[in-house]
Formats: sequence, structure tokens, C-alpha cells
Amino acid sequence: MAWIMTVLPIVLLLLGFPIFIILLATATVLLVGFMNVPLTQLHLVMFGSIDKFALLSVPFFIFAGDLMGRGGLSKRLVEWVLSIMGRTQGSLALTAVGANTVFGAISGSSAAAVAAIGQLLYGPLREKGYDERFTSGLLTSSGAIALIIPPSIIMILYGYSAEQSITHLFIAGILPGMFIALLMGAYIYVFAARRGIREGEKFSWRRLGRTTRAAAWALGAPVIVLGGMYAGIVSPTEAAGIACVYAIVITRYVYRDISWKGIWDVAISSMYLTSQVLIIVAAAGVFSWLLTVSGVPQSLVQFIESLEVEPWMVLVVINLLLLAVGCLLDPGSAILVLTPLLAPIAKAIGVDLVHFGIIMTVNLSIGMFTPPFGINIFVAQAVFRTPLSVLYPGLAPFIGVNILALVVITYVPQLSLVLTRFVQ
Amino acid sequence: MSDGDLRPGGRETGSVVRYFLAVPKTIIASLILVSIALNFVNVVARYAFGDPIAWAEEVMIFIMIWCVFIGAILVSWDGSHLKMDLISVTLRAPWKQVLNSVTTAVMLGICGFVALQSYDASMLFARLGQKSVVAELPMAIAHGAITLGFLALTVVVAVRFRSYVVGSFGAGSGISFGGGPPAKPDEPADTKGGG
Repeated sequence: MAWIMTVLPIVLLLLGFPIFIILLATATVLLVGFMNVPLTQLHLVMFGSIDKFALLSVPFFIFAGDLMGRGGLSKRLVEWVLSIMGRTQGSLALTAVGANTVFGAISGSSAAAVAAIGQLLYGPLREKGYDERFTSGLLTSSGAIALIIPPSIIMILYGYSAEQSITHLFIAGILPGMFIALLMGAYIYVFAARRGIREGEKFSWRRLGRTTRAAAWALGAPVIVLGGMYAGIVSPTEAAGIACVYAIVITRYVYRDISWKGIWDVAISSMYLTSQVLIIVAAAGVFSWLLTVSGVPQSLVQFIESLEVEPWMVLVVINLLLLAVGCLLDPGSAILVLTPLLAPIAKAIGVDLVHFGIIMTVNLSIGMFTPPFGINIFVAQAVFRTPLSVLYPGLAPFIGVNILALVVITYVPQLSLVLTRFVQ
Repeated sequence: MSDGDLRPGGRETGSVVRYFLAVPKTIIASLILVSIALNFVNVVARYAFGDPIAWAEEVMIFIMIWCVFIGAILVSWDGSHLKMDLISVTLRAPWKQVLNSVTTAVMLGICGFVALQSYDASMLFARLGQKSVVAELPMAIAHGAITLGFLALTVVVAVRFRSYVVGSFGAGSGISFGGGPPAKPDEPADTKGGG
């Protein structure tokens, strides 16, 4: 039975079956052929898997992020970050990282960040002397920070799968996200210094005040919405709902970037994206239930313990596995399929499960821009028209920087956990 | 099996399809906006007046479940379910069509099978007359989302069988995605869930 649960999904995955069909097909084979339980259990477990209030935050955050991303918000954010950078070495490239980090705190969408920020900065970066390889690599990779900076749908799915507090996961993602941005910033600074690239306007308080006023409503979103959550006033789902109302008010009435028709279209597209993810949640619930009743996670834990290897070695193997999976599979599916298997192992070797959620998220965020199938690569290809032969080598240094950050995040749990102590 | 592609020369079919697709689009957009409003009113009622709407959470969850399975109809129409097409994209005709045929046949079989099991479960809830704890909504209605959802998926995949085999979905449902580049109808759409 265990081999069916392992081999069948892998074979079907490689053959290109939809993820939810892979999970349901495996469950069907097991229920019909190997288990003596009523087949209606398939339905009951599926229903139980999505009958969760916490999951409601998924469509709400997607809606709010999509709505904010469609307006002129990204332009205001870029101008705000640029005004902070002044004439720092590599200021325009640093702005890309800074804007993606702030955009992530508002929209939370990695691909949207690549498209929105990338469209604004690709041309100016090239004009200032950054080559095509560096520019496309930078803009493709920095968008992945949006997955780690809260709000993050991946973390909601992990929290649901591993039964961890979504609020704790969100707050645990803040420092690792900023750490990655900092490392990328250091690399950019060195790159620009070596090539003598110095651009941007001299820092001025007046300019900063003007751009801050223009971006204030957008910058207020994470403060108001996530602040209420971190203070323990509202639940993640309630915070996500407030984010939706806030997004409607500022995009429709403050910035006047979008019509009611536009809001209606966002409602459709956000539920479309939600369906793609939550149908996998429903199917993964059945798969996870079968894993539990068949004792596969427990057997895996026993196997790992029998090897008597150090926890850091187990984490190396898990990281390598997640990096490989991240290159091939979208992060949401990967989280839903792998968390029931990996979380018990992490727990057994003494890794805090909130910290482990951040490790998984960072690994899978690297997969977003790692060849051959990182989603951001395809977005970048469509937006920048950069050939893969140029884009792939451009990504290499940024993958290296992110893996360095991953090592630190994996082996310094305090980086993820220190802020969670201050959350109610 | 007929194909509902919006192909040149198939204008009448195309307009019928557009009307057909407008129904699930209208339902999911309306329901999610109602859910957002309900959540906001509930938060205000709870924190401003200390009197939350007790049934709000249950209703919002049921709305979400229905939206997921109605939305899945559109996703299936576009052939945009999340997958890893590592091998299938490298295959050439006729092997690609053979693999797509097998994938689609399995998809039809599994969706049909789940719809049948789900029907039994939903009918059980209907016979027992079980209601939700707070809102006292019939549980058969909530569970029926999965039954009707998988039944609809079976029908949609059957109708679009040729598109699934050929691997081309024409204009698709025409849903646009903000923030990112225009979604190519024949490629899976990006998700935040998927990043």
C-alpha cells in the first residue's frame, strides 16, 4: 500500500496529470483496492478538508492583492523606494528589490510583483547601463520575496496542513524576507560598484515627503490589516476581509485607478485562482488522511531515527528535496503534498514547525525563479521578451544569493522565531 | 463528443459558450463580494458593537466551498488545473495525443467516480435532514457543492475532450489576470497559491 502511495503519484505527476486528479486517483485506488472503508469517506474527508474558516483568507488575500496590483500602486511604490535610495550605488537596482519587498507586503503575489515592478523598472535599468542578463535576472528573482513577506498564501496553506498559527507564520516570515532582500542588496551594491554604475537623484526630504504622501494609502494597507492581526485583534481571515474592503476603497475612491467593472473582473479572476488551489486542498486532505491511517509519516520518522543522523544533515536532505521539487512544481501544490510527510520528520528532529514553514516557503520561493519551470521565468519571458539563453545565466548569481540566505534561515531559527514572541 | 471551442467559423457556438460561461462567472463574483461584505459587517458588529453575527462564519465557509467548485468549472473549461507538464510538453504527435487521451480519460473516470460517491454522501445528509450548527442551513446544500462540482467537471471535460487531447483550448473562458501578463489560454494560469 505504501508503494502505491509513493510510486503512483510520482508516475502520474511525471505524465502531466492535474495535481488534484493525481491525489484523488491514488486515493481511489487505495480505497477501492486495499481498504475496507465506505467509499463515501472520499467525499466526507474532502468536505472536511475545505470546511475551514482559515481557508477563507486565501480568496480574500488573492482578491485584495490582485486589486491593489492592477492599479497604479506599483508605480507609486517604485517612486517612494527610489526617493529613499537617492544616489546610492546601484540605487535603481536596489529599488527593484525594495519595491518587490513592499509590494509583497501589500499584494503577496510573486508573479504579479515580477510583472508589475519589472514592467516599470526594466527599461530604466537598461538605460542606466545594467546589461540584459543582470536586469532580467534581478527582476525575475526579486519578485520571489513576495512569497516570504506576509501576507503569503503559501504560509496559509502550510499553516492549514501542519496545523500551525497563520499569524505566527506571517510574523516569522518578516525577518527572513528582509534578510533575503538585504543579501540581494549587498550583491547589487558590489555589482554596481565594480561597474561604476551610479544613478538616481540626490536624496531630498522634500521628494521623500511627496512620494510618501502619494504612496501613503498603499503603505497603510499592511500596517492596518496585518497590524490588527499581529496585535491579536482580528483573525487572519478577518484581516484578509478587511484588506479587501481597504483595497476596494483606495483603488476605487482614493486613487481612482479602477472601475466597478474592474473590481468585478478581479472578483472573478481571484475566485478562479482560488479554485485552482483549493480543489487541490480538498484532494490533498484525502491523500493526507490516507497517509495518516496507513502510518506512512510515522514509518518515515522511524526510518530517519534509525539512521541516527544529525538533524542538520536531515535538514540538508530536506532542503535539497524541496529545491528540486520547487523547480518543477508550483509552491501551493508542493506545500499541500509534502507537508504531511515532512512536518512529522521536522518535528521528530526538534525543528519548530513555524520555523520549518519558513524553511519550506524559502525553498519553494527559490523554485519560483529556478530553471526549468519556475513560474516567474515564464512571466519574465513574457514581460521582458528576454531569451532563456540570456535569462538563465542572469538568474545564477541570484539563485546563489538566495541559497546562501536559505542556509542561514535554516540553521539560525532565531531569525524566524524571534518576532513571534511578541505576538499575542 | 462536441467541442465548445471559440473557433473561427463557430460564432454561434461561441456566443452560446460565452453565455454558458457567464453563469459561473457571475455566481462566483457575486458570492465572493457578498462574502467580503459579510465578513466586514461581522468584524464591525463584533468590535464596534460587541454583537457579532453568529451565523456569518458558517455562511461564508459554505459560500467559499460553492465558489471553489463553481470556479473549477471555468478552470476545467480552460484546461488550467495546476500540473507539472515536464514530459508531456516534450512529446511529439502522435504520442502527445495518446498521453493526453489517457490523462483525459482518467480525469473523466475519477471525476465521475467522485461525483457518484459524493452524491451518495449528500443524499445521506438530505435523508437525515442534518443542519449546520449555527446557521441551521441544510448540510445537504453545503455537501452538494462537491457533488454538483464534480458532476459539472465530468460534463465539462467530456464536452472539451477534443481540446484536452489536442492540448489547445482556444479563447478559453476569457478571464484576465491583473498584475501579471495576459494569461495565455493554453498555459496554466499563475496563482498566488502557486506563487
